[in-house]
Amino acid sequence: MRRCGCGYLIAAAACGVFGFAYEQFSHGVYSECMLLFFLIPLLGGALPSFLLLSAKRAPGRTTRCLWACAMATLSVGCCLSGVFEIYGTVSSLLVFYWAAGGGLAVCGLGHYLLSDVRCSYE
Amino acid sequence: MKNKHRWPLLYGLALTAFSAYVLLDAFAIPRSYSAVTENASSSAIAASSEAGGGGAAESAAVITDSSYNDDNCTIQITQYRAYDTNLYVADITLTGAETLKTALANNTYGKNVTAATSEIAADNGAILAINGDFYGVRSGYVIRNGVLYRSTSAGGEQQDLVIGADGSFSIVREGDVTAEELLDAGAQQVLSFGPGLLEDGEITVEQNTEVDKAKTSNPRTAIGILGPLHYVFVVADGRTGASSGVSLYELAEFMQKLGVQTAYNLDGGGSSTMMFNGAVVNCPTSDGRRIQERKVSDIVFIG
Repeated sequence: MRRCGCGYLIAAAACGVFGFAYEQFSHGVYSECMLLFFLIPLLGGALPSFLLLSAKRAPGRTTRCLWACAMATLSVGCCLSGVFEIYGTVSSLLVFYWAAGGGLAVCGLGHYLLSDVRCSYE
Repeated sequence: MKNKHRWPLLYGLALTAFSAYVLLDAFAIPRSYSAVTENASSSAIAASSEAGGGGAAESAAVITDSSYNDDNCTIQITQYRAYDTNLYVADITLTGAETLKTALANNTYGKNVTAATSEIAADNGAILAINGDFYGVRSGYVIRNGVLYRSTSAGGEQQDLVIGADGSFSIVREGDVTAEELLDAGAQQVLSFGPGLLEDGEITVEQNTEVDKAKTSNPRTAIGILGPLHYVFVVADGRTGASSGVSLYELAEFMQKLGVQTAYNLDGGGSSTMMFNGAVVNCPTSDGRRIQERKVSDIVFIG
C-alpha cells in the first residue's frame, strides 16, 4: 500500500502542477475545479492508502484497480470541468465522469467490505 | 500484456478516448440546429435594394476612415485612452430601429458554428459590427431578429439584454421571465452574456464583479443606449503591452461618462472585435502575442 500511496502522491503532484500551469494562462479566469482537482488523488488515493497501512487487511488487487479507475475518472472529469469553466462553456457529457467515477468507487468500496466480511466469516 | 494489467489499461484507453470525444464535442465538432431561413438583415437589405433605396443610400453615404453618414444612420468612431487601455467607441444614431441587427455565423444556429466577426459582418452587409454573446458555447436565451432559437435558461440570475422592436434596451433576469414571454412582448434581440453595466445611468456592477470568475482586466465588448435610437458600441483592447484591458467596473464607469443610460457587457477576451466599413478597428487577441480575430457565434451590427 505504501507504493500505491506514493503513486497517488505523484499523481496528485502532477495534477497540482497542471492545474497551476493552466491557471497561469487563463487570463485571470479562475476555476475551483482546475485549482483543486489535485485533491482527488491526494485525499481519495494517497490518504486512504497510507491510512490502510495499519489496517488488518489490505485491499486486494481488484479493489485497488477499481478504486484507481474511480480516482482517475473523477480527476479527469474535474479537470475537464475546469477547462470548460475557464473557457466559459458547459458540457452535458461531464455527467458520465461523475456517474462512472462514483460507480467505480462504490464498487471498489463494496468489494473491499464484502471481501473483508467474507474473510471474517471464513 | 500481463493479464493483471489488461483491464486497467483498457479502461485507461477508454477514458482517454471518451475525454478526447468530450473535448472535440465541446470545441470542434460543428452541429447545425437550424438555418436562418429569413434573415432580417438580408431581407431588409434585399428589400431596400429592390426598391432602389439601398443604392440611393449607398450613393448618398458619406464615408471617412472614422465616420459614416447616410439616410438611415450616422456613425462616428472615436478612439480613447483610459485605464492604460485603448478603447474604441462607435457613436451611432439611427432613423429606425430595424437598422440595429444581429447575425449568426454562416446564417446558422448551432454549436461550434463560428466565423470571424468581420466574415459574418461581410456576409450580412454590415457597416459597423461587434462580436455578440457567443451563444454557441454558453447556455441562455437566444432570440435574434424576432426569432426564438433557444429558450433554456442559464440560471435565474443570468442577466440578458432585451432589444425591443422600437430599439429600446432593457436588462432582465432569466429567472423572472421566460424566452417565450420576451418574444410575445416584442423582443427582437435577446443577448445572454452580461452582466448589465448601467441602468438608468447608474453603475450596476461592483468593483469586484466579474464575468464568471475572471478577476483581472481583459479585452471587453459592450453595447449601450444613450437615448431613443442613439447607441454606442464600445470595444476595449487588452492582453497586450499597449493595452492592459479593463475590468467590468471600469468599463461601466467609462460608459457612464459617455452618457450611456443602459449598458450591457458582451463576450470579451479574444472575442472582442469591432469592424467598421470592412476593416477591423481594434486589436483583437486571445493570447496577447498574435493580433487575430477569434471565430465567434454571432455579431451585433448596423447595416
